[in-house]
Amino acid sequence: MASTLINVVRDGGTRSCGFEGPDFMSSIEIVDKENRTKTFPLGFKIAPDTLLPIRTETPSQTPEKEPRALASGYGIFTRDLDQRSKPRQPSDEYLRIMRRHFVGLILNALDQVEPHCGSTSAALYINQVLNGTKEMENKSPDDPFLRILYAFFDALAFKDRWIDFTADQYNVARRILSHYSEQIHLRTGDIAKAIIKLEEAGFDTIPFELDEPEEAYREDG
Amino acid sequence: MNQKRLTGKMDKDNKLKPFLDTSVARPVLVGTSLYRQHLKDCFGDSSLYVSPFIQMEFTRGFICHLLDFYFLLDIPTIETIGDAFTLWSDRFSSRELKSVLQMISQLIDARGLSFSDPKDKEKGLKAVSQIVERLVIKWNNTFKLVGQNSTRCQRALLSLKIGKVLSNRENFRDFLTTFNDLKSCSKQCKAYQFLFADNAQNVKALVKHASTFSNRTSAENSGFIRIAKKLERILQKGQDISCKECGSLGDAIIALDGPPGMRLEHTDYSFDHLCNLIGYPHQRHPSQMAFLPNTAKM
Repeated sequence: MASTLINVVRDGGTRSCGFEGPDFMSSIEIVDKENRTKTFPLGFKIAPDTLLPIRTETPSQTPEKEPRALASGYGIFTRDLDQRSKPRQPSDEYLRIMRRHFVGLILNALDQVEPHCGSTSAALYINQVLNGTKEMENKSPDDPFLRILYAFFDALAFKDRWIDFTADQYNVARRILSHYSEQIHLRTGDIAKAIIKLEEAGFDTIPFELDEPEEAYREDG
Repeated sequence: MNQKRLTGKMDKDNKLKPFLDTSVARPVLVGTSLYRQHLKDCFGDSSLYVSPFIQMEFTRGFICHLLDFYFLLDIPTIETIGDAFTLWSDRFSSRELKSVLQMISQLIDARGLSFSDPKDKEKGLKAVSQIVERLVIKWNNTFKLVGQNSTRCQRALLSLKIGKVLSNRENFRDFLTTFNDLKSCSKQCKAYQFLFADNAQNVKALVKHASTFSNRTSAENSGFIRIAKKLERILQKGQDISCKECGSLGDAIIALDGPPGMRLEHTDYSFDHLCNLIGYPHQRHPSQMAFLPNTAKM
């Protein structure tokens, strides 16, 4: 497990910690000077006499680090200041499990929609595709595969265009999604290739329509 | 609709490759479905060409506005997508507002996101970033870039680099900072030399031609006259051209910098005058407005 060591420097008074964990992390452990562990929910308040340091893993796995003092104020530091603003990434294992679950549902729905293409009964399976994508975004919002899934989503959802696509097209889409879902670390080039393949299969991934006058891109000068 | 006339003209010049002005390139990607179909019928399977300058116009007039909206929505005090819409409507002129609001509202609607739920703000941000990413991917995949960039426009040479997962925000910010660095662009700019040295005869002919119009306010003439006036003013001033001024000279630069063996595809009346005067092959398509239902034109 990756460790994040946070040193909290007190200057009196009670302040909120400001530490934000990923969605699936519900609490944080604080180890005080006597090596006693206390568990707090995220968003807790720290009294100045509690602390230090704070870890997201057991104390034996991370070496002790002296808190850094601030000239003034109440500071919260991570080991690497540059990483402070970066959101924490979910583990590969988490991405893999979530993706396997939701993409499995979506691919299964695409399998089943093929005999129903062009009829209203296809709506049942398309609904599973659309809802599966949204559910996946709720549970695993940082998965890069969503960039491909949402390209497909937009092509289907805009003006209910899902009803116009044929069984062959859904079959191609299924193969594209299946292929790229196997790569956990999708690079931008992979995502671009997947989107272009969807386009070539007839799925307009930017189906939105602008009817503004053509002068809109000129400047007045 | 002048479909017959158009087709006839296309057949006559069918050896020329289609070189798309922004007024045609943009609707190829995001026009109404009827208009896209019209353009598809016109071009068939031909490769479509654009210049770096046209790519710059598309970026400046559309991608940058979408990114501006992205960063507006990203402001912590903007709690919902609806808040960003309201502020955008209050702050920006109608043409900037219209294209962005049209695109984003259709996107938000298709995704089933709420305009008033703060929980959907983050999803809205991701949706906008995905659309920007896809626009860049689709632009690069749809058009072939001709190398010609006689004005040495640095903004035209920029390509939007879409980074790794979760790094879009930083990449977007870097891109906008570089794109909006007009001082650096002006330092490299050769627009003045291109217009008033390399194409001095053509520019003088354009200015002279504009002075002969009796009807100066008609839709057919006004755009060309505005460009000619601008050229005359800059020539008298004798100073380098700023990016802002260049923005209103776009048609002249595109026409004068047209690659050989191609035909300019456009919807602007100003190109009729510009291209005819300099002898560059061109084709004016009906405006997208002509393809809208009557109620939408009101």
